[in-house]
Amino acid sequence: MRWEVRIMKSKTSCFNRTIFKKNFTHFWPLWVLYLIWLLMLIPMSLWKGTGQDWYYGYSDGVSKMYMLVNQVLERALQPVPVFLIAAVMALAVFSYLYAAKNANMIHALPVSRFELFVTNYLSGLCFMVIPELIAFLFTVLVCLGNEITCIQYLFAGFLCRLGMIFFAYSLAVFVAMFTGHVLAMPVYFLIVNYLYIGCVYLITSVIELLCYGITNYWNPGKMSILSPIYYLGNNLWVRTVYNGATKQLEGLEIHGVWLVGVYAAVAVLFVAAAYVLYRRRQIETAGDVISIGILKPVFRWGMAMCGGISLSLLIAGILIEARNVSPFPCFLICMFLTGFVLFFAAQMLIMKNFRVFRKKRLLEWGCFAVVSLLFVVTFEIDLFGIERKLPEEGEIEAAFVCMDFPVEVKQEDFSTLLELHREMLENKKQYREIQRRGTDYMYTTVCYYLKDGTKVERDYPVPVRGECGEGEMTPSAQIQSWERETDNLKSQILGRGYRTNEYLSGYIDLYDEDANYHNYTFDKEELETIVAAVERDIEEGNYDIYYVTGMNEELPVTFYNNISLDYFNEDGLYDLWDYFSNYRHYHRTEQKKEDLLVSTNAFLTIGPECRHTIRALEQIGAIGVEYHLETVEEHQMRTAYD
Amino acid sequence: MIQVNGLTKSFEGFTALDGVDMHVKKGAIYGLVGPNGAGKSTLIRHITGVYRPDAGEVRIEGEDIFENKKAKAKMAYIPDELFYFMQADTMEMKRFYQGIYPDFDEKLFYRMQEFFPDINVKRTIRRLSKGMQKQVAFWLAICCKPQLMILDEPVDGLDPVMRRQIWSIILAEVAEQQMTVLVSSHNLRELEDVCDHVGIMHHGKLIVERSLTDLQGSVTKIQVACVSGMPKLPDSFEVLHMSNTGRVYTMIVKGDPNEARAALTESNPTIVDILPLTLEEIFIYEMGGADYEVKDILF
Repeated sequence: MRWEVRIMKSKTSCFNRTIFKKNFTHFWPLWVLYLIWLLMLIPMSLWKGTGQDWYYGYSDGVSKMYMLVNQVLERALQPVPVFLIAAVMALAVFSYLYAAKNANMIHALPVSRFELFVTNYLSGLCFMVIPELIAFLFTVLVCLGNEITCIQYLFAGFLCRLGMIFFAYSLAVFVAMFTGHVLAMPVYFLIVNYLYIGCVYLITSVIELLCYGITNYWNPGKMSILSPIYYLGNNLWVRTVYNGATKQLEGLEIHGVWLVGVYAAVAVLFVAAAYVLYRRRQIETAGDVISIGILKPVFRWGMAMCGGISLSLLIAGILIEARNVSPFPCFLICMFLTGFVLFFAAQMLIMKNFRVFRKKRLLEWGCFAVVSLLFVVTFEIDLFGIERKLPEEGEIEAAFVCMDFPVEVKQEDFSTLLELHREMLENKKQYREIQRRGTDYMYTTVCYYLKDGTKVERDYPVPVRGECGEGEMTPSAQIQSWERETDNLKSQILGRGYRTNEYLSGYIDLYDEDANYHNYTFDKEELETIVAAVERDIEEGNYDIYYVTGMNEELPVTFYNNISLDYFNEDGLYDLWDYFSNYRHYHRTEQKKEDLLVSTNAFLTIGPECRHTIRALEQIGAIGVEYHLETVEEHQMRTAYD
Repeated sequence: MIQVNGLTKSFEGFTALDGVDMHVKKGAIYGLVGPNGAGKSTLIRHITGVYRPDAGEVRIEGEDIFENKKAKAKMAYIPDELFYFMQADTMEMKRFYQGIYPDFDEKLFYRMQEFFPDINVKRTIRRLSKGMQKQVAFWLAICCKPQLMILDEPVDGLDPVMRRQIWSIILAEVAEQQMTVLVSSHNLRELEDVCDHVGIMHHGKLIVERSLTDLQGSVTKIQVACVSGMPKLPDSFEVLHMSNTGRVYTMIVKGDPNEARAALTESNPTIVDILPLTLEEIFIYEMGGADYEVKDILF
């Protein structure tokens, strides 16, 4: 008697080897391709790396080994391919649910749904796990053959991959139970994976469109764990660990292993839920985009709401840009129209019929329109106080204001900044009107990093000229006075650590009478002369008109020639803009100083007012008879003439 | 063998089955007929345990069929749209069925190969002709040694010789193994030759369920030639249809044909001829009674 027959006659029936075997033989291209890809991704790339004398600049054995394993693990721990393949496997083993004749035939067989589910679930899981095991065994062999001793990291990476596979595949199977359509399943899987951050993004975009001063509101936070691909992509990573004393690579650290554990635990729930759905599934739903009746309204509303917001943002964005229309009515009208189209498009997909404009559905759309209206109005009237939100002075850890360039506001000026901020809020109508006119304002960012780890960032069109912009007490005047402070201007021009910068090299772009380019490189002594001159110009306010532009009625005359100064700062104090944008990164407790130790350069715009700088250039002989400075206008005229 | 009681099923508000009651005896060949959309395939999918009923029950030998592996193992089902795994050949499907059906008879499979000489068992089934695919389905189904065989449009696509061959195999199984057959088809002439019981479905209901003998005995076609005008029958007879060509009247009559002949003879007709109705004619007249649009095809 054949083994299939013997198995069939056994009383235990949670697994059917005939179906399992059929899956393996019919879907062999899937797991074979996956195996080949895995072999190339891990053991092959490891083996290839060992054949090179150096790797990413590391040539000594231990460092090279860690760098190599680090690179391999970085690629191996990427969640996107794992989730993609998991979806393909789930789709393959449960594909019989998506065509009526397949579904009818399989469910007419003397096999229970439990048996079918377990067998197909395990088949798909094995399609991924077995190649993983084989690839890991090959990896171990490559390690043994090439004196790679840090197999523990590869093993940890292997376990992480298994955890990811278990979660991704279980989620894919769960999603597969919601539909009876082969094309719908991957779409739903993608949606489920990005649902949370997608919704947050849409709501954020609506807030940014409708609320005054709100920009960069996007902050999905820890709840983005609900979007697995995104969260794993940002929180599962590997990095090299250096020995503080020897500055040598001494190991690797895989960050986010616990996260994979959490997802793997949740996967068990998905498997159970998927089975419950499969047990309750109506086989006649094969071919339907939604196979669970109660989800049909969710599908209609979800498609209309999310799709409506997305399309409305797009259309409203184009109209606002092109016609300068008011965001609220424009977005609301777009929302009604696109919502209507998508609501009934969803119903057409559900019914597989174009005749869907029934009274009941029109009434339902009426409800949808009311909800859409409430949604949009909520943000327009700032029901949640997002626009009006101002931090308390005591909550602020650091504050920045950025009109021409970021200025880190001193603690004693926090109250002044808050006052300015209040004024910007109170003058909302005037500011918006000036913005609509399109002149005499500058977008100004006010950013607070709060002690609780959050960030409040607002962007306002602050008038710099005219009745609202002129005067000593206006926000623009106050911000510009901060910008003109020597310390702030030096930080902008020469970097945050200008006091302790070690200048390494520098040059100026020059052109002779025939417009031939010449790069004049400063020697050490010349460099010191130039830096001293620049600092003196800044102290005397000669750089103000080039860097504090809001005060200028017209664009200042600047030289086409720029000065570049390369420097190193041992305290890791570099670019002000980067510091402003990534303040938290610079103040992370676990932030290692050596991570910040790189050199950078200051790129200076100069003009005729920079007297000391020009004199220094003449003094060192960079400019004179052969080369001289020319303004942007002169250069343009000359090159246009040429 | 099959008991269907009060079976109801709706799809998106459309009632496909409306309280169907159906009874098929063991060893019977039951023909399920009805117009398109009557609910035959839906009923069959309930009997095979594919669909879950909204209400009512489907029992096979007293056991509820839904999710009943044991009951399903007694049954072989050949649907109207056949499904074979991609790239699978006959041998592979045989191995699959062998693993799934506990009573699969491998020896019988090889013995039956002589009945299907044109089928290349190593060729992918999906690349065989439709008729050959159907032959493979029968071949495999018979080898499962089912006690109940359910056929949905079974001989559609088969050539006349193969049709006869298939039916002879099925009838032999019925005779030897007491196999029960439920067959749904629009080919009423063929059903008439093989079925002993007939169920007629219409609008999700089983409107007639009788043995073919009873059905053919109760409705007859009577041709009468009368000199004295239109013949008359007592009120106890239901005349389903009457037409005439000159003095020759053709009547479709429900009731005992011998009593009808005696009653008609009293009016001294020139000819009284009683003819049995074919299943096709019975179907048409029954459907006519059920408001089915058959007026144009009445003769």
